[in-house]
Amino acid sequence: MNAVPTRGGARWRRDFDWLMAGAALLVGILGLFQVYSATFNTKFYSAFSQHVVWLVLAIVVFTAVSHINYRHLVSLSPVLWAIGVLLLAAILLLAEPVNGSRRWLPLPFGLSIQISEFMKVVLLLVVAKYCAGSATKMLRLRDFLPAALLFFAVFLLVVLQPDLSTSLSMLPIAVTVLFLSRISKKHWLLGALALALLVPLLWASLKPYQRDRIAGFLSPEEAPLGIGYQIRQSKIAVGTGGMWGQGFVQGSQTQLRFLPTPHTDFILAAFAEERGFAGIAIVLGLYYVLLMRIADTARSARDPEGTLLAMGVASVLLFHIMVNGGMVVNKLPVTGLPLPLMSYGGSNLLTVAIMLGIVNSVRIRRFVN
Amino acid sequence: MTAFGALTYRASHRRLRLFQVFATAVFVGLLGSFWQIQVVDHERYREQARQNRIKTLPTAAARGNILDRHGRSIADSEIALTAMIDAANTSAANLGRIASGLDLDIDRVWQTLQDASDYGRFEHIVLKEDLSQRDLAFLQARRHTFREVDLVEGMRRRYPAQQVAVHATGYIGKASRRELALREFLLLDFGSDVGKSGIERQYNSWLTGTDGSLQFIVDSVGRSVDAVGEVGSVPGRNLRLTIDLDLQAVSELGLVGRKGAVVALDPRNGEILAMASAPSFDPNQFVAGFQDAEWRALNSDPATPLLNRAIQGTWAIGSVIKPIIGLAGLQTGVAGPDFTAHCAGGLNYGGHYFRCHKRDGHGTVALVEAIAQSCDVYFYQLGVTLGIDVLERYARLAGFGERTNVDLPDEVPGLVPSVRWKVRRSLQPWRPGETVVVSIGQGAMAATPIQAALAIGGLAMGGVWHQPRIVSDGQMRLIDPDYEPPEPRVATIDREHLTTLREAMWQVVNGYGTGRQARLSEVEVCGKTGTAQRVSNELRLRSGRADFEDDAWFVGFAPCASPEIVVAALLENGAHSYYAAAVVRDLLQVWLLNRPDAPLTDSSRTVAQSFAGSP
Repeated sequence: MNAVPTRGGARWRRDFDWLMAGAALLVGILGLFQVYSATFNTKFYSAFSQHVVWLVLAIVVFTAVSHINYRHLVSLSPVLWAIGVLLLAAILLLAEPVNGSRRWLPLPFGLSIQISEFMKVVLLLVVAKYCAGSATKMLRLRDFLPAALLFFAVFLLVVLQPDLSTSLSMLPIAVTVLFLSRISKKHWLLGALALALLVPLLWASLKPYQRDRIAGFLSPEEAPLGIGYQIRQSKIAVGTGGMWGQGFVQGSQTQLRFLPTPHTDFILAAFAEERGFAGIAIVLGLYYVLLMRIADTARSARDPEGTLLAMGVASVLLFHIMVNGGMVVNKLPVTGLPLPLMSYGGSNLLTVAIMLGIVNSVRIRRFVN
Repeated sequence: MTAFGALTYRASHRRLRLFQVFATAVFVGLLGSFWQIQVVDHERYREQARQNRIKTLPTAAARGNILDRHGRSIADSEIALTAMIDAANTSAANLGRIASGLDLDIDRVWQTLQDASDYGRFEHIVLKEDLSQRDLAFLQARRHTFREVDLVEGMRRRYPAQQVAVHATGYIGKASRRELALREFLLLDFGSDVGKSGIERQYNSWLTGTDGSLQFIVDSVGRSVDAVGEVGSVPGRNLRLTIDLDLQAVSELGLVGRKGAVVALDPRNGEILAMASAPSFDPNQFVAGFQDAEWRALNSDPATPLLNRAIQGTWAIGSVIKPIIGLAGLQTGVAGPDFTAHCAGGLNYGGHYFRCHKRDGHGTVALVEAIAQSCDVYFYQLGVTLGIDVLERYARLAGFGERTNVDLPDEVPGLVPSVRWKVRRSLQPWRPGETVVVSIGQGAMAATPIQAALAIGGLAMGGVWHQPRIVSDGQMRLIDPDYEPPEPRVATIDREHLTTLREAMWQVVNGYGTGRQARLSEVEVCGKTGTAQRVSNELRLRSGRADFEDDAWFVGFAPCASPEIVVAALLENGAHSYYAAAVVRDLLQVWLLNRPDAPLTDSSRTVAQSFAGSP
C-alpha cells in the first residue's frame, strides 16, 4: 500500500498536508450542505446522498493517491494517456449524446463519469514528464514537441465532444508550463501564439447557444429569458444574500427555482444567497488558503516534476474558481465549469481529489532522505 | 529555500511569487464583486428578488348598479373570467398563438400592448374579458406553455334590460387615450373601464369601485406557492335613478320602428320618469368588446342610433310653442278676450301668404279655440303684434334656447331666434316675416324634446320650471352631502291667465281639439300637439319622400288641475301629431297603474319585463 517503504507512520502523519486537506474538506462539506439545500425539494433530491458517496470516495482517493509516489505516476503517464485517449475516442464513437454532446462514460450501478475531467490529471503528469527538463536548461522547440502533441490530441478530442468548458479548463496546464519553463523569448512567444491560435478554433466550435451566452454576458438586461435570465437571476440571488444570508434552505431565488442549476454551476450563487457575504468570505478564504498552500508545496518540491505538478494543480483550480466565481457575479461569461469541491458531480470531485492527492504526495516527499 | 536547488526551479521562485500575486488579485477581485452585489447593492437585489417571487394580480371591484326608481336593475355586474397577459414575458410566437386561440385580432393585441407600454404598463394587460368556455378550455390546456397568461375573476357590466333606457344609462368601455389625459381620470390605469355616455359617464366616479389586489408567492414557473397578502377591492356604489322602468318600457314600445324621443317628467320637481330615444342599440355589445366594423356601423348609421334624441337632437317645436306664445299674449295684456283673429286658411303679411294648417280656415277664433284647434293665423297675428323680442323673452322663460342642465352629458341648447342672433349670424336685419313663423314654432326655432316637456310642464305648474333631474335630490345628497337642489325658475302668472291656458290645453285633448288621441277616461289629460314642417307642403307632397314628412309632437300632462306628470313625444317624420298623442296616452295609462298611491301591480311589471326580455 505505502509506496514509500522507508517511511514510518509517524513521519508520514507529520508530513501529511493537514492544512490543505482540512481546507479542502471544509469547502467540500459546505458544498455538500448547499447541494442538499438546492435539491431536497426538487426532482434532484437524490443528489445529496449521491454527493455524500462521492465525497467519501474522494477522501479515500485523496488518501490513496497521497501514498503513491508521484514520480511513479509521472513515469506511468504515457500509459495513462493512451488509456484515456482510447476511452475518449470510444465515447466519441459509441456513447449516446446527452444534451447534444458525448461526454459520459457509463459505469455500473447507473453511474457515469466524464473521462475528460480525469484527463486533466493525465495531462498534468505528461507535462511533468516531458517538460521537467526546462528547470535546469534552456529547452529547444523539439523538447516541447512530445508534450505539445499529447496535449493537443486530448484537447482536440474534448473539443470534438463538444465540451468547450472542460477543454478550456485544460489550458491553464499549458500556460503554467510556459510560465515556469526556462525557455527563450522566441519559444515563449511561439507557445503563446499556438495557444492564441486555439481561440478561433474554439470560436468556430461554439454552438449558437454558446454564442448567446457571450451575448448574454455582454448585455444581460436585453434578454430577460434565456441566458440573460440566468445571469440576472444569479446576480439577484447573490445580492439577496446580503451580509448574513437568507439562511439555510431559506433563499427564495434558490428554493423557488429562479436560480438555474443551483447545485452545480451556480452553486456559489445559491450559497451566497443563503449564507451571505460572510459565507462567501469564508469559502473564498478557504480556497485562498488551499491555493497558497499548494503554491508553497510547489516552491518546496524536491524536483521540477513536483513543482510543475503542484503549480499545474494550483492553476487549474484557480482557473475554475475564477471562471465560475466570475460567472456568478457576472464578470465573466456563462460557461459550464463547475466550482471545484463544491459543485455536485463525482467526476470533478474525484479529479480534484486525485490532484490534491498528487500535491500532497509532492509535499510529503519534499525531503530527500 | 531548499537544499536541492540544482534540481528545482530555483530561478522560478520569482514566477511562483507572481502566481501568488495573481491569485491574490483574483480573490480580491471576486471578494470585491461579492461585496458590491451583496452589501452595497443589497437593497436593489432584494427588491428584485421580491418582485421575482411576489406576483400581484388585480381583483376587480364591481361597478355600482344602476337602478330604476323602484330599485329594479338597469345595469349591474357579474363575475366573468378575464385573461391577462404579462407583456414582458411573452414572445411574438406565443402572442400569435394566444391571439388566434382566443379569436383575437393579432394586430389589435399588438396595439393594446403598445398602448399599455406607453403608459408604463407591462403586466396584467387585459387580453380578453368574459372568456367563453372555449377560450377557457384553450388556455387551461396550454397553461404550462402560456405562462405569461393569467386568469383572473373580473367584473362584466350587464345591462339586463338591454336597449331599454340605453340612451339615458349609457354604456362603459375602455378609457381612451383622450380620457386618460383628463384630470378626472388621472388615477385610472390603462385598460380601466369608464362610463362613455349617459349616466355611466355622468356619475362615473360614484359608480366606479377601487380595484384590489392579491399577492402570491410564485416559483420560477409561476406556480402559486402561497398567498401572502390581499388588498380588498371596494365596490362602486349603486345609483338609483328617477326613471320608472315601466314608463320607460312603454315609451320605447311606442317608438318601435320609428325615429323619435319620449321624455316624461314630474313637473313638481323635475324628476325624469322616462327618457327614450329611437332607434337604439344594445349596450351589452359595447361591454363584449366591439369589433371595429360593428362600431363603425353604429356610428355611421344615418338613423343615428347612438344619438340621445331626447336631449341631443333639436327639431322645430311647431305648435307646441303656442301655449307659451299665448302666455306672452296674456301676460302682456295683448291677448285679451277681445283679441280675435279671423282665419280664412291663411294670412297675407309683408307680401307673403302664410298658410294655416287648416285650408278651409277656422273662422273667427280667440285664444282658447286658437290653441285647442291650433289655429296658425291667430298666432301669426298675435306674434306680429307682440314682436320678436317679446316672443324670444317668453320662449326663453319657458326654457327654450338654453340647456336644461339635466344631469346627463352632451345636452344641446336648441335655439330661440332673435334680432341679435340674426344680425350676428348672417349680418342681415330681422325680417318681419320671420316673426310670423316663429309664432308657430317654426323657422330657426329649434328645441329638444326635454325642453318641450319642461316648457309645458312648467307652464302647467303655473310658471314653475324645475330643472330636470335623472337622479333624485335624496340620492344626490348621498353623493354630495353639500348638495343643494337647484332653484326652479319661477314666473308670476295671473291665476286667470293660467286657467285660460289650462282650459285651452284641456280643450286640445278633451274638446274639439287636435289631441283627442290622448284622451283618457281615468284622468283628465291636457296637452298640445305640434306638427312641424321639414319642407314646404308642396315639395313634401310632390316628392313623396319619407324624410320630408312632418315631425310630429305631442306634449301632455295630467291631471290637468294639479299636474303630476308631463310627457313629450316627438316622432321624427311622424307625419301627424295624432300618432305622438297616442304614444303619450299609452304612457299615461301605465303611469296611472304605477301612480305612487297605486300599488305596483303585476300587470305593470309585465310591461317592462316582456319588453326587456328575461334578464
